[in-house]
Amino acid sequence: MLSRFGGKEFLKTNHRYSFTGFLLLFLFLLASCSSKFASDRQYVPAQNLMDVVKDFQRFAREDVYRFPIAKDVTGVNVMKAALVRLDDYERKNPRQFIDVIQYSRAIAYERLRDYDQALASYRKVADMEGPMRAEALKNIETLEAFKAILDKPLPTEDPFEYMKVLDEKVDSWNELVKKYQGTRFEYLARVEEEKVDRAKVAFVEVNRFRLTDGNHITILAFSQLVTKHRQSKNYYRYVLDFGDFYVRLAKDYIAENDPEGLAFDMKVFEQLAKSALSLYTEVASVDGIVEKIEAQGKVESLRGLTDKIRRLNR
Amino acid sequence: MSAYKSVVAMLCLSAWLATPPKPSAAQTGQELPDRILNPLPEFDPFDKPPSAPLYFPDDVDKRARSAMVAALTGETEHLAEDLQFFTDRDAQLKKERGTTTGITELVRDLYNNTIEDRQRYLAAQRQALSFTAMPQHKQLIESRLNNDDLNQANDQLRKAAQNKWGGIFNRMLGSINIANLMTGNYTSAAIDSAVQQVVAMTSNEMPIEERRALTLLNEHLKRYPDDPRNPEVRKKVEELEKKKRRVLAQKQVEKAEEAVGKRDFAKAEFYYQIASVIDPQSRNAETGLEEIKKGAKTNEQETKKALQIAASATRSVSADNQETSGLLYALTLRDEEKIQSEAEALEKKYRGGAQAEAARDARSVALEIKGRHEEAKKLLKQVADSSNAHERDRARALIDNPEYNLLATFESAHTKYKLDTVKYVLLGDDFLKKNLMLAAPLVVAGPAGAPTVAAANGIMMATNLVQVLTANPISNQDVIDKGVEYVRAHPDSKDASDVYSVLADAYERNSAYDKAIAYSEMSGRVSEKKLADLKEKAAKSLLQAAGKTQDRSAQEYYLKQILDNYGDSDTAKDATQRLSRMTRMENQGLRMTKKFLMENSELFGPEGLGLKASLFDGNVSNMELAEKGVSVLGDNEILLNLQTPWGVRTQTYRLDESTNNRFQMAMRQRNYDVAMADVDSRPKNSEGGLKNAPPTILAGQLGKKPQETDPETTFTLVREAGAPSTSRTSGADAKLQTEAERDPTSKYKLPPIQGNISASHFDISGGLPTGLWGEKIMVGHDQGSPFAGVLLPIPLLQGFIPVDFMVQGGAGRFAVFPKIRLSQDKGNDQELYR
Repeated sequence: MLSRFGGKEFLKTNHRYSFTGFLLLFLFLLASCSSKFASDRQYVPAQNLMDVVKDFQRFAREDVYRFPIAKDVTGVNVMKAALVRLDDYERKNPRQFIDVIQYSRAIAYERLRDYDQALASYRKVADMEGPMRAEALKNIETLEAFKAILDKPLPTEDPFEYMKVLDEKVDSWNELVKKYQGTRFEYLARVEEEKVDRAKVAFVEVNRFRLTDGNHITILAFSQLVTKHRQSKNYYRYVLDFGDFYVRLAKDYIAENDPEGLAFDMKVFEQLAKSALSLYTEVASVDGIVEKIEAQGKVESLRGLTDKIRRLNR
Repeated sequence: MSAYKSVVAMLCLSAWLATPPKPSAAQTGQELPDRILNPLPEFDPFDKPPSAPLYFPDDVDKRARSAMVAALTGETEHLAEDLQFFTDRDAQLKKERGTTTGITELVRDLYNNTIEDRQRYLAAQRQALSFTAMPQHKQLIESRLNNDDLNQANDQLRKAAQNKWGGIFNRMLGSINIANLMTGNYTSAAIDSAVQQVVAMTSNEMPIEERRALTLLNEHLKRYPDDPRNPEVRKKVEELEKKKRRVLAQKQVEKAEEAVGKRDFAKAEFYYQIASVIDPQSRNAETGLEEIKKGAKTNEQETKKALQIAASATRSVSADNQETSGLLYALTLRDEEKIQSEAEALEKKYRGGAQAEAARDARSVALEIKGRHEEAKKLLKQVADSSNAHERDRARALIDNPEYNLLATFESAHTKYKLDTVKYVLLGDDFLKKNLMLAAPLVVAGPAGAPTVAAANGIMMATNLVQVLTANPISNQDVIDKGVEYVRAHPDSKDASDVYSVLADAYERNSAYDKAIAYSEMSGRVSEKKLADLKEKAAKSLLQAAGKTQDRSAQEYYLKQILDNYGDSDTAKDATQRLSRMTRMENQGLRMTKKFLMENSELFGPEGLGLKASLFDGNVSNMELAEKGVSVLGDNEILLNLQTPWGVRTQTYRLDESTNNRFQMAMRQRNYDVAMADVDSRPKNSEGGLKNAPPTILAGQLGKKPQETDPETTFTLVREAGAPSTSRTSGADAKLQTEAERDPTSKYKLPPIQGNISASHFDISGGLPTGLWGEKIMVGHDQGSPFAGVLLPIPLLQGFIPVDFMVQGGAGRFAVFPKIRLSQDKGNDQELYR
């Protein structure tokens, strides 16, 4: 019967099909096993400088004060990715579009706040004739102003002098913010100003036991920081740090007054814990930010601490 | 005669004139308000204080003092002598007068507490238990015996074993109908038991009883390091620790595997690492970490490759030539206009060619620089549909990239949420388990099992639907996170409006009305009516929150929030009234309702506030306290809410210092008594006593700080959000109520209802109120016919193996199912053993 319908052929073909099928199934299983822990993203490497520059400019948002540096399709910081790609392009295509490469490199270094490298790249562009030269010269002037503020030495002997110089730096950055309003340098200047503001708070916090009313000054400093940089990408980080400081005060209070003893005033502890809690809750209730997970953990941790202290104090 | 008449008339006239005039109706009306406002001006609500007890110290008294001093200073020998004295004196008094001193047991208790050896201590407590006649003392000793760590640990381990084996037996016996045992049909029971057993065995849990036992055993080792039973205890601890480590590690591995399923490898690595820290011998954790590392290495290589420029053999060098250099410079300088013009020129020149697609892509970059993200994405989609392989693949990779295409990520999360919700309505959770369970009736009873399956499915779906409509168990957090991420990155894009609307709905579903209102407003599409509705809901939720908390400052905060943010809502009127009520004097201080005082009569009696008993006898004619009770205001004032024929009237009285002190002592004593009442049923070291009792009163003089604090640690500058501003009188501020008053719905609460689906039947059961013989009532469907039953405990077996019997009656049949009773952990500290 089979032979009438070309049975042998049929069987042979069928056998071949079934073997192919098994092979495909095996390969599929193998592929699914191997890809379980690997990313499923498909990347297409750049072919030319145009691709590199397009990828770079597409993600290179200017407002680095409000937004973090974007990640490109590979998930790498777009500035760092651009530097790697530009190096590779230069190696594979020596002496081609040097000004474009150096200018792009300068921008990447600038956004990564490596002003020395950025200046070096801009200077190379300025040394060449071409459409980039004028822009490069302008940028060199701006970055030199940045460098002047950054290089201003900080006195190490007197803490008050140290604070004074930090304040002066803040003023200088503020002037640059005004001067370059509307350009990418405004945002960079804001980032630098923010860094100094945070450093001021850290300095007060570290030295709070040496200062009169050190705790109060630190609280004020944190309040000013979160008020001033409400728009910053680091805002929620600062709110968490502020909450951490209240927790530190609460723990200091526990260390100084045994919760099982009579000198311990639960109200003082609860007031500090409540202040920390309100700050943590503020972050924990914001959606779409990574700090939320940390804040939720801190809320739970504070609940545990308060519960323990309440039990001890009972 | 006429003279006589005249005299009579004169006498009548003078009598009329002498009679005082009757008050008019108007005059009566004028007097009434005084009586209403001050119904009993002379009324004194206090009884005379009890006279001080007369005190004549004798030998017994002296010895009692000596025993207390010896107990405090740890002089065991003296204490033993004192105990001997009291024992002898009791024997003597009993012989002579038939009475005793009454304090021997208390002295014995002091002595017993000095015994350090556990075995001797417990033996002494047991002996004391047999001696004592005082019920409260008996309860205290019983609680000590019960609270012994080792005894409790053993008890917990016994419960765990009972639950484990009881569970297995119940799964086996649950299908056996004793009434039909003679029929010999065990197939159904066997399949049913096997299915349930498999399901039960797949769960990877360590019972809470075992975890409690582990803690208690460690406590025992710490407290009695020299106890002779310790080697045995240590062995048990080791076994339990090993099991705990294994279970905890497995839990982390499960979380890691879930993360792998979602392709979140960073999260998976985190959980695998925790698992390997908990149990370094966990093979699953080790394998998982290795796989993750391998995957990470592959990803790293892929990324590295993607960061390289393609090899010269495959790349089109023509892209970087003099013709395109104009566009390249424009791109480098981020000159949007120049990019646009150069790209358009190139597109025109090379229409349909690779250069044209590259130029179109450049136009998309220009739009991106201008902040027109959605338009840029549209252009990119055109490139993704083009025939040029390189440009097409790059565009597709970009569109698929969640970092770039946040809108697609958001839309996919939204679609997934909707699908999950539908899936939940149709299948519920634990899909696999239920399917396994539902397949069993068909195996056991064939087509006859179909109605059971159908009925069970119907009930499940209806329940799921109700659940979704009232409080959807499917989380929409991912939708919210992705949506917020999108609008934060592209707040002014065309599609942002849609995303704002979805976010508003999602927040409304989560009862986060403030955010729902904000996003609705941002969407620009919300109607006035919808906005007003949201505001009303927001105000109501705040009002509910205020009603739920006992904390006065929190209540004030919530009510003020309503007035500040939703002043136009109807609820705001209610909030205003509540806020004004809170500021009234009778709502301040330490408030105790009449029912609470009657439940704790020591507080108002001669040993407490000294209020007259007639205030609580229900007779309004002799003055009655209103339901609202009394408020102790500060240290020297008490406010009484009195029930009068004209309604509740308040009256303030002076509270002298001695009465106040007496009341505070009575409060502490009552708190102790209440705490003692459930000392043997509460978890060890848990807080007992009166609910919401002010800590300042309970702490007595200890509440006052004895020393000046260091100025550096007085945090006067602490800032608090929403700190209350309403001034209040000093002193304790709390409201003491009975359990029923605190939660008026508690008496109407339905007993817990459970459902069960087994291979042969499904049922719904609920607890019966205490006092009835039965404990549970059940209705269900069994192999084609409905049934109803009641669960009866059989007292004869309770002391040995607690077995209950479910007696069921259905259409022309009678069935009896035995069931071993499992113990349930009722501690309120379960979180500590999770």
